[in-house]
Amino acid sequence: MILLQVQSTTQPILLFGTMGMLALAIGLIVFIIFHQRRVIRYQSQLQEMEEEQQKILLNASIRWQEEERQRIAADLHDDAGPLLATARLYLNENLVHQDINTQLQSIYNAKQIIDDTIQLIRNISHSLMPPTLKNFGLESAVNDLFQKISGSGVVNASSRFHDYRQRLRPEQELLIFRVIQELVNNILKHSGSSFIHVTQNYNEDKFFIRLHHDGRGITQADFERLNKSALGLGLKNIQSRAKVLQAKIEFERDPSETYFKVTLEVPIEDYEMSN
Amino acid sequence: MWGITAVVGAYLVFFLITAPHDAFDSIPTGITSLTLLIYSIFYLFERMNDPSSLYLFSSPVFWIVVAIIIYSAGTFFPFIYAKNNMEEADFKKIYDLIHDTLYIVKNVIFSFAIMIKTKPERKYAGKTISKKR
Repeated sequence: MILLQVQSTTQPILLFGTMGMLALAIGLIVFIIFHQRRVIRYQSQLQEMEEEQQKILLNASIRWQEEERQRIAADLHDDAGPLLATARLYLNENLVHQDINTQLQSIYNAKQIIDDTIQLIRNISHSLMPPTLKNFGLESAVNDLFQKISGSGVVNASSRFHDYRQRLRPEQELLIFRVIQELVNNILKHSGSSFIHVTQNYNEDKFFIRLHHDGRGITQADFERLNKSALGLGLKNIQSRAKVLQAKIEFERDPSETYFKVTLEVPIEDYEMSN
Repeated sequence: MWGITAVVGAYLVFFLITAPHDAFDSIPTGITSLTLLIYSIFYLFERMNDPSSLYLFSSPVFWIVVAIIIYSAGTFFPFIYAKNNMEEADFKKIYDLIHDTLYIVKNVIFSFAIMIKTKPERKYAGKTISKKR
């Protein structure tokens, strides 16, 4: 064998050097291949998780839409339907055969019922798109909402908008308002807090909404866990709206553990502070 | 990287002009092998960090670089020692064994690289990667 014939000092160096270099080279290539395989596996898992999350959000969105439709259908069927049917009863064909006072009374009653129906339909419409938000913007809509909450005397709700000199796009305002509404709704239902305070800031192309309350709250870990479970439809709606806004939402507890904070960070590039 | 290319290129040109032509040119060959190794390793690490190239081993360039690494790493020591030891029969045998084997391995990997068809790229987890083989 050639290896046995090696006698000079150069040849062992040559053989071992070559083997060492080859081992290093092959080791490097194997490392790269294994690393790539691990990255591919990680990417596949990431994609599966993203698809799963998308599915959960889509289901939540569909469920929310269905619930909203059912609520509107119930409002129209249970409230508007009977009211209009009653108005129709007052204005039936026999009305012409009755005396003038009864006719006037019937017409008056029918008018009252129709007014009530108009008010009811207006309320349904307002719940779909708050007029204050449409006409006066996010700050007024939040103030309006908080005045109603504070009016109950149970929770002290207040808001302060520091850098809201220019209105956002209507769809952005509606989404932000819905997120605030859902957060406030959750606080009222589950936290038992005595105050809710919302602040708004604008910094480095980002529109910040911060909501504080002193009740029982959730942290980011809870939010992510609930988002992945079948529970927490409202939280999934918040998540899907934040996704549409390309916003980040963060749930945290302050270090003193006296209150919980939710931060909504919406990237808005064309916002002008000077206006 | 361009600096290494310029220095090595200048040295090789200088060596080509000044060196005698009756012996094996160990130093320029060794330097060439080292330069190729450095470039190849640099290329592989660059590709590893590039999120768009997930299926690296489905690319012909990857296999060409692998062939260059194996050949350059394996022949580095034989080339370095060749100038002073080529006259020895034992050395010549080992040199031929290493060089010829690696030459065949290199050409086989080159053939494999030539036969690989580049897959069309597709979107995957928000990034562009080659289709899984």
